[in-house]
Amino acid sequence: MNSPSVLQQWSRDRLDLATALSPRTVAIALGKHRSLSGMHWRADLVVTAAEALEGSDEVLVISDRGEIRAPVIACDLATDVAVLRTDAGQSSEQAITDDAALQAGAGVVIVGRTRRGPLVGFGTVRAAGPAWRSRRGGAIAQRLEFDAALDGRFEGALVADLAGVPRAMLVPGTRGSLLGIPAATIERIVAQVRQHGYLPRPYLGVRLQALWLDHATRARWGRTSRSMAAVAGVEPGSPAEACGIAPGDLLEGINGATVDGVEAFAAQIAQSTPGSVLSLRMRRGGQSHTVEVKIAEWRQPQR
Amino acid sequence: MAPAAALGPGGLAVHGAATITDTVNLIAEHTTGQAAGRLTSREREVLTLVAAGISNKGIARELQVSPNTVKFHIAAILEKLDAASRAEAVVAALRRGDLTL
Repeated sequence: MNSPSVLQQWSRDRLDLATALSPRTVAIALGKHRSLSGMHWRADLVVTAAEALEGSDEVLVISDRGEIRAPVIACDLATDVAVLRTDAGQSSEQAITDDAALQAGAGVVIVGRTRRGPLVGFGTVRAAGPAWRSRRGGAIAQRLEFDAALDGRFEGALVADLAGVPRAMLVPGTRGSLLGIPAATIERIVAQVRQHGYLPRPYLGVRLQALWLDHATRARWGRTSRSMAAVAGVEPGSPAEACGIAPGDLLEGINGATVDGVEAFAAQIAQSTPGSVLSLRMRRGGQSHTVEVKIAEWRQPQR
Repeated sequence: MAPAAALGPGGLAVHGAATITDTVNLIAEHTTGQAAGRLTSREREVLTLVAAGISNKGIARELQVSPNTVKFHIAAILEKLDAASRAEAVVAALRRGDLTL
């Protein structure tokens, strides 16, 4: 018998990868015709793209073992990670921890699912950068952008390297780009959900307003960034009120580091854990002072 | 004399002569003023819950209104903030002082 050609072997390897990974994937039905993808992450938790759920509190999850109605137990718009509870599925108790960063040029396989069956795409890591903060204030462990021909049904799909190791979730970026939310970021959210049964939200109790500083003001205040966060409102009974933060205060820094603007400040708050104490440097009446504030937990409404 | 501060896209611009009093007054004016597309206090409440990842039904329960009312509020918020998605609305509201952290 002839040995397989290089092309046949190449095709077989790709098929093997897709076959090995597709049991992890699920389809999530949105309305009658639309669907997006998701993946069993660990234990009974499925991960998908938060934005696409558009505020659903329960969705129909379709896997190769049937359909199940799954409650949405966490929906983090900042990182675009949503967590659903289903049956145990194909995933193990083992956390997907992935320390090695993907590099630009590496090949990836992207597996998702529709109601009718698996979706598979192959692509390349177009760009891989350091950790970044999304416009929505989410801390993302690594900047990942992919080059692949995919449609909207792949939103929330599993991105694995060519050894079959899950590395990221596929989400749409701006101007049609394809971004990856790295496994480490997903695991950060999933670990909190596993610990508490939901995603605890830090609460400070301020509304902020973006300020733009001109050159002279920046020089006078020793700031490099054009933007700065000003307190526009303080909620009664909040931690912010308790430590004396007042409307008009300008936020200069957190825990000794300068904070550039509203988004950066919001991201810092979003990453803090309820119960932790932050040291905020504020400018008021031409003088800087520092206050300690204990971050509370945002009251979790009945689900 | 040039104004100490001026409204600009996405926020206030503070110029060299700005005093904190000016800033406070302008922030108050900007946030409670008649600016087009200002969110109602109910819309702010809804958006704060959206930002916290609460589902439409969860928001409806929290505010004791129907899910359709929540959808109506969200549609109005997207329109006022010229946002294509909930996440975009959250970002826009954050900059305008319409979101409680």
